Amino acid sequence: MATEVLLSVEGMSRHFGGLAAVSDLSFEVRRGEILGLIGPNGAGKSTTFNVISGFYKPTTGRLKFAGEDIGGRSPQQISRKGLVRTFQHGSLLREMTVYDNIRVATVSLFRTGSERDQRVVETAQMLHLSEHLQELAGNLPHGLQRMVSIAIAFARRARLLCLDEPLTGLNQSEVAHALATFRRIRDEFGCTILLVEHNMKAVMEICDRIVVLEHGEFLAEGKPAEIAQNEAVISAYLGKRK
Amino acid sequence: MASRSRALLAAAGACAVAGSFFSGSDFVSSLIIWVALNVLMTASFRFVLLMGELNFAMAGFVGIGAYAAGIATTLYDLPLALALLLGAAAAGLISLVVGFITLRAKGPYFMLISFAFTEVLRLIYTRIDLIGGNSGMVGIFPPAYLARYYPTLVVLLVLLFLFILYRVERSDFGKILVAIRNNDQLVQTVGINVHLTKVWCLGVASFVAGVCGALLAHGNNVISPGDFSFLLAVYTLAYLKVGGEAHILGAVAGAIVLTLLAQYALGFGAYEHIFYGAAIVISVILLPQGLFGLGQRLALARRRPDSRD
Repeated sequence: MATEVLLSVEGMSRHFGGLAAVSDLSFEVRRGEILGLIGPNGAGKSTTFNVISGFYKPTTGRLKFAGEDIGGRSPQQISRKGLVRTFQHGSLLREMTVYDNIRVATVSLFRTGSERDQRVVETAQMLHLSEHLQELAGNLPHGLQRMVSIAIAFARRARLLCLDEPLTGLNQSEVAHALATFRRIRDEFGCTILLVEHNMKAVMEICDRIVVLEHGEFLAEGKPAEIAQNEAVISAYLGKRK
Repeated sequence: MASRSRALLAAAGACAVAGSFFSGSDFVSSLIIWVALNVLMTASFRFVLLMGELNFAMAGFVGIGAYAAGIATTLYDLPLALALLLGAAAAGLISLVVGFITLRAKGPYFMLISFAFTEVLRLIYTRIDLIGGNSGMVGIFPPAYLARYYPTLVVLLVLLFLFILYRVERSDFGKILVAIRNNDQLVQTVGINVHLTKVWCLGVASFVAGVCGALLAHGNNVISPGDFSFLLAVYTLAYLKVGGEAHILGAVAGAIVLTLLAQYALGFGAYEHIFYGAAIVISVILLPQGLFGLGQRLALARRRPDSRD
């Protein structure tokens, strides 16, 4: 099972006018793994996320999710197939309570209010948000806001969770808590996770495999230990040795 | 909401119905109709604002409701109930088409489109002789046996639609509308078709606006294109700012208070509009959450008499 491919990106490019934000990118996400997608600023990580989640159409290439072609589908169609993403900035409904934040995510999953309610309560328990359900999301401290973003995505019990820099601005203990949560989401619910993150220590710690991008192109792929030793990756991040 | 405030609201509604029943003069009757319809128009305007859009097309849809009902009554002699339904359905259905095309735009762009829509409709009415062109339609009367109770009927229907709008707002559909205002991209990622949701929101609000138009036509007996300019929507925006946007009762309070005060402002003649401008400026500065917010703060202070904030 571990080698079954959940998402495959084949020769995907995305151009903005003359600028190729991502060109000819190919990689696979396997069911049940936590895959890190890293690269220096401007490497094309966010563009890749936006194409996978349907916010941009790919200029060329194929995207297959669970065996189905999803290239060019709308974000809500892709979400209904079980691929859910978060956003780097503000994956949150600030003026609404935590309860309503999670509730909105359950509406297209269930017909009845009681099923939706049950899913909200379960999700909040899982992410330790039960005490905060009636608070306005915008009033919560930053760390809890990050958890609410993840709760919104996780409430859908996505097959593939795409997390866009979920650790930004968190302190050390919050990072540890978040990483433990990601592992539980994967182990207990079988969610596959695609993680874009700048916190290298966290990426090395949690990811099963890592894909590295540079200037919109594929640079390297491998286990964390291999990536840490990879000459091309080191020079992309630190510059070439003189 | 606490059961006490629910009881208070029910009592206020009953008073409004009873008051409209015993309204003596024609002036009071028409004032009651005008206040009640302003309340419902403001609630319709606010319903679209739930998803973050300023809908100046509300005035246009009131016009469609009024003309459709006017045509039904004067040209085809249809019963009042059918005329009301036709007015509301015409506004609602047209808004679904208009919304499907225009709601791809948002913010200031949608506001300008909705404004233009209202003004274009007004110009179209002036060019159609069948509906009286520039001078409008006359003789739109409710049936004679109902004339005496017409203000009561209006108040009852307004209360009914306020209740419906309130329930829809509290439902998951209403939550999604507020979520779209907060972060429409996020709403797309949880499997919801944002565009269609917005179209339905406009449809519901416009159906209600159509009801207002149909009731207005039968209340005034006369309608003309000038009655349905964008100013109608600007006034409701003023009511909403003064009453408070956070709750549907803010729309109710603002519309009642300002419509009654405006009767006094009529004496200013050409300077009447200064009154609305001043009301918005004063309420934005002194009452940022409007009358409803003020009421909430007073209620909170009474509950905790020792608190200092």
